[in-house]
Amino acid sequence: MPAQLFPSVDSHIIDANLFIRFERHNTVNLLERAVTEQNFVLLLPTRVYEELTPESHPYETPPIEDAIEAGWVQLLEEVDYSNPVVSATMDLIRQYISAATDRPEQTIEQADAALLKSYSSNTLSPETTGRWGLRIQH
Amino acid sequence: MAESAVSHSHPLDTMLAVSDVIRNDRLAKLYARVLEIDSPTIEELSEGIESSTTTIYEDVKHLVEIDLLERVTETQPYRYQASRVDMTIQASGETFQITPTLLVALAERQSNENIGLYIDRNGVSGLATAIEYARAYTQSKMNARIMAREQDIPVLEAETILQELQEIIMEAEPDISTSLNIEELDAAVDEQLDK
Repeated sequence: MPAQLFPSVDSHIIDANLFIRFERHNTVNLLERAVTEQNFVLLLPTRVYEELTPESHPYETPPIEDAIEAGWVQLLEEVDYSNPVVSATMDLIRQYISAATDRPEQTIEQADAALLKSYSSNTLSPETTGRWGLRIQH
Repeated sequence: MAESAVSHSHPLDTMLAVSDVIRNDRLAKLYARVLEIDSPTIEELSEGIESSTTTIYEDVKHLVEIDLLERVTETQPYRYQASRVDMTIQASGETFQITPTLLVALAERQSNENIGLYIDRNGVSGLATAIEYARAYTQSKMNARIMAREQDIPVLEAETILQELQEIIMEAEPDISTSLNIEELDAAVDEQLDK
């Protein structure tokens, strides 16, 4: 798998869709090979981990535990909601998703906001923080 | 009330024809296959389908009679095209849309474990609802968490079916716009937040 498939960023934080996509095609081993060849570690927010490993589920669940054990996926600690910067950022993100999808704010899952917060706090430069970082600075 | 887009049919005929295909896996598979390979002959159709040629002939004849397939050549071997079903059903305040995508998804219920399981758990109506979410997902306007919350299903189940249906939509609805204009979205959000 060519290196350019991975964006050039400081951290690789993943959402639930990545593992599900590779799992559906029985190709998680290809993802593992690509990630380990590049010496990356994929960072998985706790809330996303919980979504990928529900207690009872009729579908085959993605092999997250194996990936964590093998070291190419690492669990990100829950963000600290008591930190005012964190809660303000998450509020902004939920507000944005709410407006963009035309749905009430309280129906927006925390995981979406947590994912983007993890993204903005784990990336360093303004370029890689992207639009969320820029909006937060306003 | 149902609106029909199958050519020259009464909406009721269309409804009956579509119900026929929804209930009969063999007809659904045949319709999906004609849609997939674009104007096949019976012989070309039989290559990917387990039924005997006689059964395929009979099924094609039936699908032509109910206007879901159309013969597009005058000379043998005849070629067939799938009609673009687009039917909106309104009942008890609910609106429900039947498109070729639904028929293709139903045709895959036996070969695709995820789709089969989703129908077992949520019914054909659940699948039709999921297609609407998947269409928005394909257009980058929806995600699995919103669907999971609104449909009261696990995020893993929502994301799985969205991805399965996205692949079908990309084939069955090639004109769908998949790129999201972030600048436009930003402007729309800002406008809404300023209200």
